[in-house]
Amino acid sequence: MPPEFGTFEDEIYADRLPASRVDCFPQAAGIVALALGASDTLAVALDDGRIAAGSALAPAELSAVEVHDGVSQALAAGPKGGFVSGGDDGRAVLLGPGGALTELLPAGKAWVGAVAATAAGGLIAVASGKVLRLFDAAGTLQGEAPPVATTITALAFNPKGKRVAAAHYGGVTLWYAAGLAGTPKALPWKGSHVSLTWSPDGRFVVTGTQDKELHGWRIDDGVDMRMSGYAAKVKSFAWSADERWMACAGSPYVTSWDFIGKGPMGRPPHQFGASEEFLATHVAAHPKLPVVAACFEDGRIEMGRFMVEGQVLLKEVGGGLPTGLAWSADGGRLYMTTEDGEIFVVDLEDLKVSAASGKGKRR
Amino acid sequence: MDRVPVTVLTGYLGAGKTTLLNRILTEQHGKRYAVVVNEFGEIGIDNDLVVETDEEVFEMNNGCICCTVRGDLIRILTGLMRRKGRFDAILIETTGLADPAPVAQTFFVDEDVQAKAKLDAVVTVVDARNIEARLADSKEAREQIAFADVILLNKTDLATAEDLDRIEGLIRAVNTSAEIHRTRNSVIDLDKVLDRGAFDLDRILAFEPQFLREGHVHSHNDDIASISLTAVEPLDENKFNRWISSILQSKGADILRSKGILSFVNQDDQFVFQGVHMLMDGDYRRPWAADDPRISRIVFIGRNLDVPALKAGFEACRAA
Repeated sequence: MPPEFGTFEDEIYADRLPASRVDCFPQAAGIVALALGASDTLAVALDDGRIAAGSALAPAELSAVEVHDGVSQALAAGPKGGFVSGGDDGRAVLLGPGGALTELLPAGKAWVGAVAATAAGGLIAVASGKVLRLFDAAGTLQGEAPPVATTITALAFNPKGKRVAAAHYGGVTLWYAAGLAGTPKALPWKGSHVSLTWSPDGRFVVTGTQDKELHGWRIDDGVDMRMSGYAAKVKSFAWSADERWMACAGSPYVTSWDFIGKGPMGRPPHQFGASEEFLATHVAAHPKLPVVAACFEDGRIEMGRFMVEGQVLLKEVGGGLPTGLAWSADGGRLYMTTEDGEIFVVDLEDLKVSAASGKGKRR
Repeated sequence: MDRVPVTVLTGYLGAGKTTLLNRILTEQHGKRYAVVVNEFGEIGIDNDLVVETDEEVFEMNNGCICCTVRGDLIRILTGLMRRKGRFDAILIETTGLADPAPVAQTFFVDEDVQAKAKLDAVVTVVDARNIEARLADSKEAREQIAFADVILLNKTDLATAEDLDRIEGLIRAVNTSAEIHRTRNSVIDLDKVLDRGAFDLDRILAFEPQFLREGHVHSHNDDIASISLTAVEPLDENKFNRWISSILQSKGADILRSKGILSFVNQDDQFVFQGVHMLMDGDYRRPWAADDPRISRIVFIGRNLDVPALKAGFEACRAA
């Protein structure tokens, strides 16, 4: 059931948020990746190889630990709290809630290019070169798949955490997570696939390609989908809370495809974006309400509502090039990080939704 | 932010690539380099940041049959850029058998690479003792010379002056526009190799001496040759654009590199372009100097070049 929309509806197209609602917390180094984790925790991968983590309510007080002799190339929230990071030093770690490091892979030659985690399945996936490995939530190795033909560029679990998908040149490979046993299923499509998402209803896998297109597969019957018209590679996806819409970056407009029923074939996407000049770099869907936020190359953050024209400006132009965007679990705060080491926090108290009611807070 | 310059070193194993690489790395220039290698050769590389990569040549689905890119380089270059401020330039050492086209095309095609890095020059090291044999038997060796902006004719101490002149003639037959330097043990002033801006539209004029020499030479054994054409009368921009697009569309698989400086009618600025196979980049740059003869010049390096047709096509671009 789609959650009901709160009082936000009347405001969204009327005005912009006052600047006072945006706070900035500069870090000691540039930020290459952002992840929000369980219990209002936040981690940022710094460009000097450290990872700073702590309470998302106090971004000024994160504590940084040395992790990579190089820099993180992939960061994700852990399956049972904490964070997972893989770097160009070949090392992959699980950073525990208390800051303790569990090493998943020691430093080595092959870069770790992708990590993913599933709370439902309690698993961590780490791609090192062409090899996928699975670990349990404590960091114990559960399985290692034979190498795929080319380097793995992206990973995603299905919503139940029972299957894991890896994108690479020539398509996607799907494994059953239990020990990575059995013959993997190939979802072939020519070209280089560079990003990956698995729909929250489990029915679709979608990649972004080097050719600036999206390719989708309906898993049950293998039907292929192609979504084109992007100005850049699509590297950021977000699924709406009601599981119907998939929003993506990669053009000056946030493009959202309607996946209800058979999928987006033959349906034009919903779009929003105030500038034709700067590309959207990241999208993030509100955890409860049918809205999606996006940040752009010029540092803007905008928010739009599916099926409704227009957008509201949440953060003005400015700051470094965005490197991450994420909502707090309650939908009351939006975080954006930049190459220049800024963590911007947008206060969206109006959009805060309690898990129990699923409704927007009344003013 | 300034884009990080990337120098590509090509050449057969044993030609002296790694020696040149180590010279670059150890000379006191105060610059920090990241080095990308395909394989560790017999000589070690004296640098903190060396990334080893497997060549992953990927086809694009953009309709250009010859459009291939190096997927591994896209990943490594964009990945290295996350280490902001920790190096000033990147050196890519390719294997002796590597095709330079996907490397060069990577810089034309991938927007993330373009945003943060720029191809500075393709530097090809050749061994004076055996380059004649390689030119005769190796497609890769010919392509590495065809793609080069700078050629080190190395190991000159092991060849006679007559040999070297003959070899230079053979190299010129393949590539009229590269700078050729004769070296021993890859000893060369690094400013002749680095920071060349050979792929900068602004810097194409730097190659003027060779560039101006009109003509073409067929190598006796094969296929790859250079042709340079000039036109004294101003050209019509629309005619030229139509012509160059159709040439690169239809013959781009055979045309390895193209570059030109053009004088269009009613334009005070020079139009500069360069291409790799079917991909092309062009723009108006600086104004023609008052004492500069406004001569349009264009160079094609490729196979099966139909010289009369190219000449006729180029001449037909003259403004009426």
